[in-house]
Amino acid sequence: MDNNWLVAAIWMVLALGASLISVRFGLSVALAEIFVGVIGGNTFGLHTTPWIEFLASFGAVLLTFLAGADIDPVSFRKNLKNSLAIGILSFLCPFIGAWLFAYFVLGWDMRASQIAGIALSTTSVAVVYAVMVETGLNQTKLGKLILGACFITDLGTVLALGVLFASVNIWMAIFIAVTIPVLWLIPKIAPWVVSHLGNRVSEPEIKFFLVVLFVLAWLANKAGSEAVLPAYLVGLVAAGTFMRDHAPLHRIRTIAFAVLTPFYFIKAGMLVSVQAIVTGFLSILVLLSVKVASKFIGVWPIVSLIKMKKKERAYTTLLMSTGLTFGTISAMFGLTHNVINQNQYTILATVVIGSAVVPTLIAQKWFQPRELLTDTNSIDQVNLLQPPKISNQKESEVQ
Amino acid sequence: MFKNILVSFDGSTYSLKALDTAVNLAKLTNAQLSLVSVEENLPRFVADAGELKEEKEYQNGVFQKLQRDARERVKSNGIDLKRADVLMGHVAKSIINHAKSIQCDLIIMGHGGRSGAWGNFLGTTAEKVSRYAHCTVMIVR
Repeated sequence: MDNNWLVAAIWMVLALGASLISVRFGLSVALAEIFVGVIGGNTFGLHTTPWIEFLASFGAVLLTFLAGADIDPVSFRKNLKNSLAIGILSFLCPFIGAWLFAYFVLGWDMRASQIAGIALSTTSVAVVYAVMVETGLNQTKLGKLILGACFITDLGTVLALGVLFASVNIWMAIFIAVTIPVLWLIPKIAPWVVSHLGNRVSEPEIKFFLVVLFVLAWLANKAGSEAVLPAYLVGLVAAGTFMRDHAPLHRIRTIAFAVLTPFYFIKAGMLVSVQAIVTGFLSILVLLSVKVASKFIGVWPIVSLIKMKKKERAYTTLLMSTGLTFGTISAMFGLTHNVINQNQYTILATVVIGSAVVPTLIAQKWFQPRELLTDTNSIDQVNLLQPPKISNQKESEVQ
Repeated sequence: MFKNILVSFDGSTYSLKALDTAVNLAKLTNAQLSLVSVEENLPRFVADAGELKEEKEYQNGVFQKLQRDARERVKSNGIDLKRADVLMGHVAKSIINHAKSIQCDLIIMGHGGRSGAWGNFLGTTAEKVSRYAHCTVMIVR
């Protein structure tokens, strides 16, 4: 099976199957791709090639860029103090908690334990957003506060991943020296690029962002850091530009979801060993509990300080315990850099996927703060006959 | 008799039959008629918030078109809808909660629809609504 076209066809068949599963069952395409990847890797001996490795890495870079670009800078600034407090503790406590647990209890070595800490420190902005859109909570002050905190937590994750495993060398100095001015310049240049060069068939504005991402990824790579770090930062500083014009972000997402992220998520699933899930089942359960418990230790006191009601505190803490994209990226970073082995990767990836589902379901089932909504039922209502009610359909909250 | 009728509409053949039945009944009883559609299969546990946003935009477009067509169909029978809503979430639960919140006294829905083969095993939406709704439910075959 060394013909590139055949390999591409097989991977795309899996990606297509995952899309169909996603559409039929209302599941995210990422989870569906991980699922088909697990089957492909464990049943049919699916394996990667160098070009698939590159497409998968490129997919991860675009995913983190999109995650950063989803921030709403205005809401974020409004809730900055509280979001910072929740976000920092939501990163630090599980990072330290999972790190120490993996090191002292599971007996992993120091670097593998650090990867465990990073992978389990994450909060999934996307999972949280999806939960809140269903009830309209993304429109409330609490919702905006939680979303802001998620971005801070993820920033902590990518910084840890980018810094802890980086080498201190001349390339690191060059990487920092280039990244800082680029991040400063993008909010000034990007609006001009999008407004003057955008909406052409040749897509110059998309290529502009890709050039920035590729150059910074190259420098990060040379510095022994991780390409997702600059991608997330570029996404964050470019978010304001995309608030004014969604079109480039839509097109980047189309490129990512059609041809790049399937390779990333199928690969993430392919590397999971079903046998390791069975043998490490107890470790998976315990690590998931450690993640949620350490999020509670970090987030609960701070949300109590800002005088949230008990139900809101539990809801916020559970949502901050979710994870998916950054968690799998961190675990895969560990595996591809030989910091963790496949069994450890399997444990971490399964815990991360579990954390996308379990805390979400608990939060929705028992802790949804319905009293914050004036009319839960009408939040996502699109009333065609009563124009003022159309305003209830606010979907661009995160953007 | 009935004063406030709610029709569950997903564009399927059965839901069109339900709509026609509702129109006839509304004429007979002089009741007000409302329409509701539910976006069910929006992705959960997404890796990128945009995945949900774009899928929701797509489904909003689909259901808004369906509802516009339904409204025209109702109008051609000399009736205007009181309201038409697109909700998201679990279909049966959303219909039941919505029916309660707009105080309707009759829900009319198709026997089949989009439950498909799963309906045979897990129960159709119509079965679930008829079991848990606060008001009378008419299931149209």
